[in-house]
Amino acid sequence: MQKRNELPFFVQLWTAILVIPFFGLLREGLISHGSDRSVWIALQDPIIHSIARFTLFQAFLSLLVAGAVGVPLGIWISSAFRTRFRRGFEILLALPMGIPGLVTASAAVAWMGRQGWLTRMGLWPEEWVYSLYTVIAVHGFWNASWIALKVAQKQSSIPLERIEAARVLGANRYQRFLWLDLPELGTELFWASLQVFQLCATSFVIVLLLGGGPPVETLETAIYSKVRLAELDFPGAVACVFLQLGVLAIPGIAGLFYQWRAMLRKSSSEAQWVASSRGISVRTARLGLQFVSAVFLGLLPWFLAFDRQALVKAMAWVMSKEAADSLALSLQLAVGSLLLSGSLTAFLLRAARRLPGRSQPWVIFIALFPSWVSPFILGLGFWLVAERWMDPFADHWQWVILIQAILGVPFLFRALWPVVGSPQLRLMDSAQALGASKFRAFWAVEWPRWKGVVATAGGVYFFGALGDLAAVSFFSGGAFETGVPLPVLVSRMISHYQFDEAQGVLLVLVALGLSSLGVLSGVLTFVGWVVPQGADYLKRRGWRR
Amino acid sequence: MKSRLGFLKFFVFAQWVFFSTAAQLVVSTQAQSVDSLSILTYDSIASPKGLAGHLVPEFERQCQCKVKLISSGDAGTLASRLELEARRGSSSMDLVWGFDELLWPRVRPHVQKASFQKLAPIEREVLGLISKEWEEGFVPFDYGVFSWIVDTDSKIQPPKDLQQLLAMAYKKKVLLQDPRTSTPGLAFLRFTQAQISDPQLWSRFWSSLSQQWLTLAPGWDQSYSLFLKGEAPIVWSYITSEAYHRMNGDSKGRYRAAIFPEAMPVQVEGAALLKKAKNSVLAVQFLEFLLSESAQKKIPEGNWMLPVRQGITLPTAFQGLPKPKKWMSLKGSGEDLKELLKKWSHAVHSQ
Repeated sequence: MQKRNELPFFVQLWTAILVIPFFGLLREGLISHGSDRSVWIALQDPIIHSIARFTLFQAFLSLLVAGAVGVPLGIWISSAFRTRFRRGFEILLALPMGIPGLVTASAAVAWMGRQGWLTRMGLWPEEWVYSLYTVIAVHGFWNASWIALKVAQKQSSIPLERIEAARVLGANRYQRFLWLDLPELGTELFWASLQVFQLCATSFVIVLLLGGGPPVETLETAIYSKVRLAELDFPGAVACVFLQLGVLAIPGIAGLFYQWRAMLRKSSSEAQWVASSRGISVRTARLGLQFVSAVFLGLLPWFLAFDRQALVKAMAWVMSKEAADSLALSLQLAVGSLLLSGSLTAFLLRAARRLPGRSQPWVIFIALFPSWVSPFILGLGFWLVAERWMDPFADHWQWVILIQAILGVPFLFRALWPVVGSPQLRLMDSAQALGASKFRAFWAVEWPRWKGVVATAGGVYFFGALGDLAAVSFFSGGAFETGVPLPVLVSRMISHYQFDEAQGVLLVLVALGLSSLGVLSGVLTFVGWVVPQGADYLKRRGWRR
Repeated sequence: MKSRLGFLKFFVFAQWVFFSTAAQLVVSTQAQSVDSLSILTYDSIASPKGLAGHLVPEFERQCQCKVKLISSGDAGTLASRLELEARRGSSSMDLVWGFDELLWPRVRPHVQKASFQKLAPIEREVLGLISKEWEEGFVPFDYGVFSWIVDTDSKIQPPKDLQQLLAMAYKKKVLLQDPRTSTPGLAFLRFTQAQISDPQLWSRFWSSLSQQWLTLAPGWDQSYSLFLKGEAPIVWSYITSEAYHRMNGDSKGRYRAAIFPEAMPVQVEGAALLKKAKNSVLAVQFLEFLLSESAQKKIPEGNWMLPVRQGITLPTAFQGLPKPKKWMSLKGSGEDLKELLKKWSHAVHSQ
């Protein structure tokens, strides 16, 4: 009874947090401007309709490319996930999700620009340069590794006994994939696809820079222009927000319905390592090839964005005082965001896991809701509400952290829900029946499964938070007492023609993000070791949990 | 019990957020009580390597005061932030620094109508562009002439007029900025409107131009970065970009500014005293300082723009830059711009 009282409180609180920005926007769009006529007129604008259609079209095509590359690669690479190199593969494949948009755009130019490697080698037709083709290819390859990761994680969790049983019973490789793997992959694939779709639909810099201009654009452009240069058109912006929500939320709601049905059918599965019957040399060669594939998709493309000059500038910049201040501030903001976003996600995961079946989709829905809203709009909404009580320009780092944390919840929730939502109940019960406490059983049974996913998701989120500009640009007046966050610094450098220096700082940012993935993994391994030890020590001292 | 524990956790968290916010508010209020000047500006100016880095320390020494720079992000969001800030009622800002003629209609309602014309003698051409605005409180401090920057290594001839841009020779050779997200992009849009007065011809021009540009970058920085990577040999920028290259080792004149002989758009940047300024005296002192000889001398290298004050000796790299015969103003009402952007959207979507 107590549990039921506790969990809805947090769910309600989270819902209230999400309502705040929309309240601010709706107040501006509908109330402050006298009537809802302008919103209605903007909603009828045929140009906005064509942009909305195009947003859907390009996101769908990008998703197809990402799926076409990511699914086969994920299936092929999944055997590597049953080895001790799993973490390395996870980090490599998760990496692109944290890469800042500017780095991605630079890398895309280095590959597929007019002077790009592929173009010069004749592998990328020159007429495709700066067109919809480039946007789709960049979106596709940028996100393919995420789909590959999710597929490989899920595929590797299918018990090998089951696959072996199917083989013994006469199922060929195709039949095994169709009847055994595909039903398991379905839900995971759907959620990964939805995430990719939403990312492509809200893409801004890549679409504008590499698309060659209208009609290659997204609704995000329309929203941005309505609150920026020539006008402060809140009704128009609110109309675009409604359309964007429609474009993004409808597939999400359909997905929730799908997930809800899938959950009813679901049974938990356990991953076990079973040695392959193939020879060691074949396995090693295959593992090597899989590693090369993961490097090619997850790491190599982005580093082409940087040349030797960037490395030289990066080294010089790291030694400066400006670097120390900016790095310290960016790290503080990213760590704060990670902790808050992690806590919010943990509460929502707990609520989703404990609530009865019918309420669960609602919790998942509101946990994922921020991903259907552009960071720009979320920031603006909070800004409009916050301005009543405080000076929004006063560099309130709490607001930067709050916005980044809210935006991170859907990502962390999606990454963690597959493991958190399917607990190993039988193993947990067995452990407890053998005398382990609930706490000890968790660390022995669940934590090893959680650890990798938590480290990867947390690391990627941390990386993303380091390079995020949306929240920083809204709530920072640029006058932090010590330094400015790295993305702001990059923007400042570019405006003063310091293109090489900016590349150097971006290189440092990417290196920092990369290392954070490894560091977090190490920290969680340490936590996994030290917590049970500590618990045992306390138990010996007479403390009982 | 667990429910209470959960609530307690949130209570503690909420307390933390509340007290840390309150502490910051107290600190910022205390900072305000010292003789200080709050200036809303855009990020490029606010940067230590930007104009503020060149001017603010000197001003602080002169006035024995503290200048607090509040950055709005990029120049385009300056007016939006000013409008939102003004609505809050309790504005903590004294001055706005870095708007241009495009943003002036949105900035004007929030500034004191005061004439600062006696502060300094201004370049005749600049005065011709903003004489009315100067009477209303617009204090110009620098200007920039838009131009094409051409990579002469590509052997391409710069276009002589707008219509020539539609020629086959320029197909996918030109980098422009999106007028919805970039000030130079909007300036180019305005320029085309002024040059092609027939609305149908203008619409057809943009429809054809959309087949010509390589890409329409979201901002000047991205387009210039692509230009330097050799993606296209011509980019829409400022004549002072040539000066930047000269100062940074381009002795052979690889990157040259090219202007249309008859007219080019000019951006005049200004500062203004806000209506709700708490420290008007200091703010006026800053405006005076901005137009002083010592400050104006720092404009070229601090902001890559040209000083508005007459008789300022420019650094060598800035000397001999092309000058248009006719200077075209960017000004227009907010409604005009809104309508112009709508027409532009129809034109580029109609191809």
